[in-house]
Amino acid sequence: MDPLSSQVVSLEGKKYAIPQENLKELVRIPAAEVKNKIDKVGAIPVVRLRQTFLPLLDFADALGVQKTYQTVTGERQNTRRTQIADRRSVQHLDQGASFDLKTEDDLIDRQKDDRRISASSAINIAIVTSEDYNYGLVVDRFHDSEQIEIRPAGRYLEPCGVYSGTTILKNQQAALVLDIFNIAHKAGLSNAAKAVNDAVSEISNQDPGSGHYSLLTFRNSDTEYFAVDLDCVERLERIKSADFEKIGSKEVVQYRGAALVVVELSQVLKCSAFQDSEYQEVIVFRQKDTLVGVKVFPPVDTVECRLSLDKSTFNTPPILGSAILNDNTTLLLDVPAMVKTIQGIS
Amino acid sequence: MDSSAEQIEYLTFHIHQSVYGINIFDIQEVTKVSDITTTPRSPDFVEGIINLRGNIVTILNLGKKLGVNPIETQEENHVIIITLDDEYIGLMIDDVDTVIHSRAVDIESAPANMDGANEAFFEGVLKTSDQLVGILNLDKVLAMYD
Repeated sequence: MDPLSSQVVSLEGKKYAIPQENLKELVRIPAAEVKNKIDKVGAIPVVRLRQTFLPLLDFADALGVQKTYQTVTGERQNTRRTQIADRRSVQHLDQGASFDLKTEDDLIDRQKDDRRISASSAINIAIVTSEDYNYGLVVDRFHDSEQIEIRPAGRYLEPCGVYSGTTILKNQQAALVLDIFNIAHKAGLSNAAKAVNDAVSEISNQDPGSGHYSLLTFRNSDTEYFAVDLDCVERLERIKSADFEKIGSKEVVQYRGAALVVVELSQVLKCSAFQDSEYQEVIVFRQKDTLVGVKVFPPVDTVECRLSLDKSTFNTPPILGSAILNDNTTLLLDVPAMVKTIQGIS
Repeated sequence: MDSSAEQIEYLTFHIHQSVYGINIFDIQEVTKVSDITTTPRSPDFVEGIINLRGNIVTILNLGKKLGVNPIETQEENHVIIITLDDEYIGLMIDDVDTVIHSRAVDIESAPANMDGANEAFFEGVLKTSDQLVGILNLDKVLAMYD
């Protein structure tokens, strides 16, 4: 049997394999982001992924496994049953609420009544595909992907309805291969997915072309305003111009042990040439394993908003469209397309 | 030749105080296992799966399957490996006893209650000089549902 690529995840210290064909992406939500990214549609916990919402399934619930956590003294305790979307999350979608965020200080609440070590309160979600829809499987940890040989589940495991087979991992341990479709089916997720889809369509139908955006805004010059999806942004850096090295047509700077290609926006779209100064603000973008830098003109701000994107006036790639933000016409950039263009320049 | 006079060898083993036997012909090997991968949502008597020299073996707690006291899982457990339709199944027991020889005719019918186990699991019982050995009917024991 040919080996298949699989993503290994773990729950309560035990590893499970997800066939690569079922896996869309891995998402890690830091504790402080949970209130922004995890929401509810009725009783269904959902995760906000770029411009859409996906139903969530807690893997521990799907398997009927008791969740534990490590206290500050190092012992393992059973978790009280808590929901993925906690009270502090944004208002429920189906109430047609707007997405203005509360600015509570999450950290203080946690220290008061939660003995958990905060790093472990991040949520790890495997976004998986089950035939017609995608959902998020909340697991404990992600591990390296592995080439595995899937064996039959056998007469006692087949009827469980959660395993599509068994395998032996690189560490020689016997492990279970997850049946992503049946796990969702048993949890009644297709109804949940439909409900979430309906709720989301209803909101975007109210204002076609509108959506909720988490943006980073910046300028190329005094009058040119741009915005990008915050998810694509790795960091904002301030770099001394003298540290840039010119190699051929590229400018690079030593960034965290590697050479980072840095461009100005006029190299990827039609706009003014960039005015260099002694210190440069550079936005570092991440697309999968690639990092690129773009020189920008301050102020650089984050904005959470609902807006109607005008896709007709400005739409030459890598521009997705335009919108009025704070009275300025702002062009929204397609970061993946932009990164591709930048890689092409080199 | 009268087949009922043929000698059959049985491996006898303990589950707590009771002694049981399985036809050696059906046994692949006897081994000790550790590091069992548990299998949530599986039937109660399934302890989990292990890697035995590159093969996946499903480990059943024979105490639970027979409906008597469950075998206690420890760091290492004795397991009798059987193959059934290309599948490896491991029967977790307390410990192995010995090999006895017997003829088919010596097997007597099992009493209705075999220390709590349902008589349907047994082909019968063998009386040795000092023990009463419950000879298991593997097909019935391995069936998914009783």
